[in-house]
Amino acid sequence: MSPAESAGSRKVRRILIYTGASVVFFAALIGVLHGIQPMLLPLVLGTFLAYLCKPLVNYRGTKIKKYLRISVIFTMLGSTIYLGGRLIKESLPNEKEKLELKVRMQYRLNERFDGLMGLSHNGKGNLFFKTFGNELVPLHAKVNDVLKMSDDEKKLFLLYYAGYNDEEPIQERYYQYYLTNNKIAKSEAEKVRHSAQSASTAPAEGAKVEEGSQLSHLMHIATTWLIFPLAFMFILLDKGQIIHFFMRTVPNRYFELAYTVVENVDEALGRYIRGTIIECLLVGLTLIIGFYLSGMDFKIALVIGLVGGITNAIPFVGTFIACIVGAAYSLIAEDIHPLLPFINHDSLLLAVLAVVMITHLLDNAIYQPLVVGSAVDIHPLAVVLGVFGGSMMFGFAGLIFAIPSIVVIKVVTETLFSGLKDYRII
Amino acid sequence: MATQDSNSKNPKNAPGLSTQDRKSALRIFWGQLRKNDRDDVDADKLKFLKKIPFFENLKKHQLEQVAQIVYERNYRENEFIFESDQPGAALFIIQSGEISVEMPQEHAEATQLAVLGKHSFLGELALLDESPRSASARTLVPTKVFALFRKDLAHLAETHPDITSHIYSALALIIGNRLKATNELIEKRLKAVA
Repeated sequence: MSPAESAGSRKVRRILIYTGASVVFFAALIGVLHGIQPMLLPLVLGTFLAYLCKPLVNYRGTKIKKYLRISVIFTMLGSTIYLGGRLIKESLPNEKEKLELKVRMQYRLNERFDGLMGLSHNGKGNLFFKTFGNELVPLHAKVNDVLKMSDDEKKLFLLYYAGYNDEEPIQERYYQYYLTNNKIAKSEAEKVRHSAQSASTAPAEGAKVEEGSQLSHLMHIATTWLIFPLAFMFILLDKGQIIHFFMRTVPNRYFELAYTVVENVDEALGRYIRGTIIECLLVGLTLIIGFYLSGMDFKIALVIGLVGGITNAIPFVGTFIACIVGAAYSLIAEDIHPLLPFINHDSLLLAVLAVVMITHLLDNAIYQPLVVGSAVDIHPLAVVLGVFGGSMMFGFAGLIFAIPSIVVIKVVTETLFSGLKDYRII
Repeated sequence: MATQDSNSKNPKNAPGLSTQDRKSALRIFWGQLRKNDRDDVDADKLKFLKKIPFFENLKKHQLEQVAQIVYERNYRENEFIFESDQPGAALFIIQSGEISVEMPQEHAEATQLAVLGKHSFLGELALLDESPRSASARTLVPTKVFALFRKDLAHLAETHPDITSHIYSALALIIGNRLKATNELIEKRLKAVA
């Protein structure tokens, strides 16, 4: 065999081996990813947080050792997550408060509807009712159906009204709302209350059975989420070993190009994740302060602000959700303590809309240009489609991974194609 | 467990060791040897880098930081390390082997500008910007190189500016000397023409 033929057959063998190895590698990778599916979310969240903290770890203004800095950041982050989680948990309505909220919502909705339609005085309705009544009355009935309490909820409500589970009894006015909502006679309510009181010991027994399953559930969460701090620590401690490992597998011809692509993706992803998380925090904080100043209860302002802030990673969705939830709450709000003197019950809805609008303007004019910049300029439609597509295909994980995946695909495509031309590979 | 057992035995009884103990002892020995081997490789890398003008003024701990960001690559004979007009991203330092620096011609064979060997470096301008390579580099024999990327150096400048200041000043010196040599050459040529 001539040297040229030998080189040729060697090249063929090489291509075959590389192709085979690549197929086996990717098949194994898909298998492993499928197997560790529950661990993917904590792994990615750990990586996100590591990206967020990278500049702090690499900050050169201190002589403290890197691993000490990482430990301090990790402790601070852990404490913040723990305390924040506790605060959120305390802010979320409990079983009794949820029932109160439901009763209030239905009552206020009916009251506002009657007021708007002019049904509260003579029952005949005003011009608005005559014009849009045919469309709005069925809609109102549907919303009432959604807010209607089930029989179990009614029993529980009456239990809480009588004083149950060491909780303060439900206030009389909510009971009156409840009666109005259900349009039932007081005697009937007494009957239900009596039957509910006789069954008041039953739920306590069921609680013990749940305790065991809760413990195993907690153990499962702990083992799955163990990867979260590990991913965080190891990515921050990494001195380039991960990228060196992958670069070893790249053929010489693509070495510089592959490095450029990886470096660009790393840079863009880091900037995007850091920018987005900071932007979400700022939006959430603005909403919380705005709602609180408008007179909302701090707990409610915190919950709506946090939901709005977190969902703000998806363009328009955060402010839209904050607007809907805030407006809905403003319609049922009873005890408001506005710090701004010109806000009252009637103008709360307008104040909420103003807060959402100001937040959206601040986000577009200051937060986004300042913290996200034009690092990765993705069209909002692409983001929205990606997020909904991701959530449809992979559920919650798809929702979280969608935007970073779009960033990676965009940067890889851009860098790779221009690089392939520059390096005269295509 | 077996390792602890074998360690606790008196060496004088060595001839009476069981097969399992011997295997454990062998494992410890090989483990230690591999560890030493790894240290030797790192020490060799540091010793090698110390001889390169960019790094000669660096202290050991600074050199270790640089060693962490350089990539080791193996090239076969007649393989291009980079080609003229491609965007430059890295400096290459020859660890072993030979590289021909050449200028490709459109309808003729490439003109060889220089042949570089161990301890030489090429593509140093890529440490400054992404401007295209002015010549091609092709291996003449199987060659090992170290690659140092501009972006890695920029990251290092953020965390260890003391290290990169040495590297950049060495780079400035090298470029300055080359400019001086080129000026002298032009001057000589002009005198010859005159």
